[in-house]
Amino acid sequence: MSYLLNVNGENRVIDVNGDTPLLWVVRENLGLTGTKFGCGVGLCGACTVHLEGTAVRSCTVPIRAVSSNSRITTIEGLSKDRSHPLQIAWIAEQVPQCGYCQPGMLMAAAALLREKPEPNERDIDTAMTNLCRCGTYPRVKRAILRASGHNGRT
Amino acid sequence: MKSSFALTRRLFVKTGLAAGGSVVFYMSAGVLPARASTPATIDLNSWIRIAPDGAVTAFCRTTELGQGAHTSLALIVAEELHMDGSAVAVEMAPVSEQFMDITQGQGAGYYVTWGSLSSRDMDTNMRRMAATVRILLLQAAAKLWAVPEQECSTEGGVVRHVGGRTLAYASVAPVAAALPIPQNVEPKPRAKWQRLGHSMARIDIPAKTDGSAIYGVDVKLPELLVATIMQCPIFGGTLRSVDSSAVERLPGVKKVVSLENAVAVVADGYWSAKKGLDVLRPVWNKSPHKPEDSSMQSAKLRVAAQSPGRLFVPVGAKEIELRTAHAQGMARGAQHLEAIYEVPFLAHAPLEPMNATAHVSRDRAELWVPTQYQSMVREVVAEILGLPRDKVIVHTTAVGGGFGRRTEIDYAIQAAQISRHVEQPVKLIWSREEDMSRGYFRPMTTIQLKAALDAQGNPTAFAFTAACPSIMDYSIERRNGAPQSEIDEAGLANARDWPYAVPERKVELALTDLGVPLTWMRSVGSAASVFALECFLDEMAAAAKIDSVAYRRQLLRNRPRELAVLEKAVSLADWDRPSTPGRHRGFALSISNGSVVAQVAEIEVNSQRAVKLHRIQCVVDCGIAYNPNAVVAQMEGGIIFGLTGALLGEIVLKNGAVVQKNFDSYPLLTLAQTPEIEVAILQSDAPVGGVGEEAVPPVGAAVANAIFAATGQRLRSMPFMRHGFTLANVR
Repeated sequence: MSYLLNVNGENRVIDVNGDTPLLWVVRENLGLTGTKFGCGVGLCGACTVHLEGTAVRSCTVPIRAVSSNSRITTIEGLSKDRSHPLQIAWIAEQVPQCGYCQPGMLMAAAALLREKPEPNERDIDTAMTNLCRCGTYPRVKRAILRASGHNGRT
Repeated sequence: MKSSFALTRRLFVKTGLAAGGSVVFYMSAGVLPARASTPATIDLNSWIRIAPDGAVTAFCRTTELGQGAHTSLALIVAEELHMDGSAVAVEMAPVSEQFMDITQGQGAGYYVTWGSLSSRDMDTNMRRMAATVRILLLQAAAKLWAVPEQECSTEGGVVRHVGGRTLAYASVAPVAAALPIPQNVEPKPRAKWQRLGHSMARIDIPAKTDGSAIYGVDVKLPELLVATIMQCPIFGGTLRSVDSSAVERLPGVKKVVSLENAVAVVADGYWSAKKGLDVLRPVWNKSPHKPEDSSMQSAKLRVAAQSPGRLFVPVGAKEIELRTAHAQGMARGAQHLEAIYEVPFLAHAPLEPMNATAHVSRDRAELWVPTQYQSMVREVVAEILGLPRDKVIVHTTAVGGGFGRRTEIDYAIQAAQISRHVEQPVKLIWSREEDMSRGYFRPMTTIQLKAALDAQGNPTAFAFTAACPSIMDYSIERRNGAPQSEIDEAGLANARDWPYAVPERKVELALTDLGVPLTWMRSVGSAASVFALECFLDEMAAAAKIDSVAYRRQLLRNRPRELAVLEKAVSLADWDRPSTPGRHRGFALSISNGSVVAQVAEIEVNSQRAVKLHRIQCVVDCGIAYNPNAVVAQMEGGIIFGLTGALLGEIVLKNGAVVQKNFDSYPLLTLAQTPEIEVAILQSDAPVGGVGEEAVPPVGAAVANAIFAATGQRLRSMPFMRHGFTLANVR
């Protein structure tokens, strides 16, 4: 089956079985490996991408459920040159350790900031349910606050 | 994790010209392993390359796991070469004999990342190496200018003459390479450091913010197939048969490959492979182990912990005298305490599931592996494929979490076997369910403690018996033939070397096999031992009717380093003032891998037994903190890792199979549950200590002690949530 997608601003046609999760389409058919496989059932958030601007866990979205020409943004499309305010804040706060969960963290945080440009700590608690095994949560929180213009705590 | 052999080492630096006109400096050492009769000269790993364009590269055999090891190496080389830290690039060294570490263990040579050894290895080897290279560059410039060496200095990648002339390192490097090697060059004293000890942005971080870092699962090769695997759900079981005909007709599926204890489906992509695997119905042969439930395993360990184990006898001591003195100490006690502490099996559960990519052809194999143990991958894959070791090329990818799990190489062997079978490059990706349930685990451990206190509450004798299965019965490291005792007693070190003035100790180990694959996990046996020790110490303080910190102070009176860390934590937490109403605090301290860590947990427990983790304050003395911000990050991460294990984590077997399959039944601490974490680094003159594992051991005890303060309930087994508590969001 053929599917037409708009990924990071580019139109792409892919031929794949309709039950294939968006995660594997992005990673294997489109070669965008920044989006990570962590649990396969939507629990960890490592596979978070934006579908029409909303954060989704792409491992649980079969490609046939994605309407034709949907806008999909992956970590590779967050900015061209690490210039998204969150990427700048992530480096300033030295957030990643192993880094594997971070593309998903960044995409979840970007969706949060689009909805709430100045989130408080509770908003961050609610939105940031992605799992990190290295324990970068305190820095994730600080980086989101920094990117949203808070330099300290709310 | 591993103890070093006694060495006599003499440093040699050698130089050579590499392809493209680069100059390479490498170090070797005359090493006399304790077990060898004659000294052998074997190259160590430390290489520095200066390219014609001035680029300086340091080679490394430490996997960057997010701990910042590569940045520390860049800082060390930059410090000694008088350059900017960001001007030094770090590359993984080739996995070959010349880069192996022969100073640890009993193997032929190690290329491995474990034991919080990275910074300590760099401290002893790389600083001296880089310092020697700088002298060579200086001498080379002096020779070219025909001026005395004393008139030359180095800064910013150039040699400068007092007269104002300069020469770039790259232009003097070829001359330096031909000079005799100065011996016994001392690295810069700490007082003169300008870069080391100051926070530097980690060099691996930018690529982790835009998706460009290439992890094992991201490897791309021409003609690459993808496989996924199902292993026998019962440990020790093997594959009897599998009907693959229907699956091999599915779209995208190329082949079903049978392995000794597993079956893999190879396809054009992960989803096709997984769909194929989901419909396979393999038949397994029974395991030689009787299938057990964890409740039975735990009962076995309780029995073992209460029976005599193998006694640890310090060098120079006599067993009979030790036993007598212990018995007399026990008899002197005015009151006696006894308790049993337990921890379950734990899965490492790194976010990147186990995976490896292999391209095996008839006379050669190439692997791309997110691994902590490159030399073992090469050795075992070569053996299994019947290839000479130098025909097995191992590339290290970025690694999505190690925590010890990636010191095992099971998935790399499988990838090589599958690739050989299909005669094509194959990327094997385990599902999360396989990753969670197929080991290797942190051992289940039960510890019995006894103490006798005199009328004033001072300890007069102490006994510690740990019952656990042996990691060395299962880890691939057993190939190196290290005796069980050396490795498994590592968990006893905390009891043996407990810094408190607790006399007449009897420390025993009762190894009890449970038929479950095991390996090292971040902080290894210390997480269990320190939980037991630091909670039991609180029990002793309570029996003595003394505040738990005052009790520790009293017992640390002759230990200035530990006492300083305790006092710093006490002042940070303002321990001597009453805590905020409704909040309760617990204290714990531990020493491992040369670092001292103290932590104060501040928590709240409401009437519904919901626990809020408000704050963890942490003080670390790791001697030298090369990159302080990275040390703080390791403390934060270790605390969160330790909290997950102490409060939530548990791998349970039912009829010999693991119950937990994914993060719903094996939850990790979330951002909303994470306490505020405050870390203070206490600099000391001690040698560089580890920081990757050392925040893990005390945190469980600090929280358990705080929960006792809040509820009067002693938590003597992990995970704490099993005791009818729930974990609430902090805010």
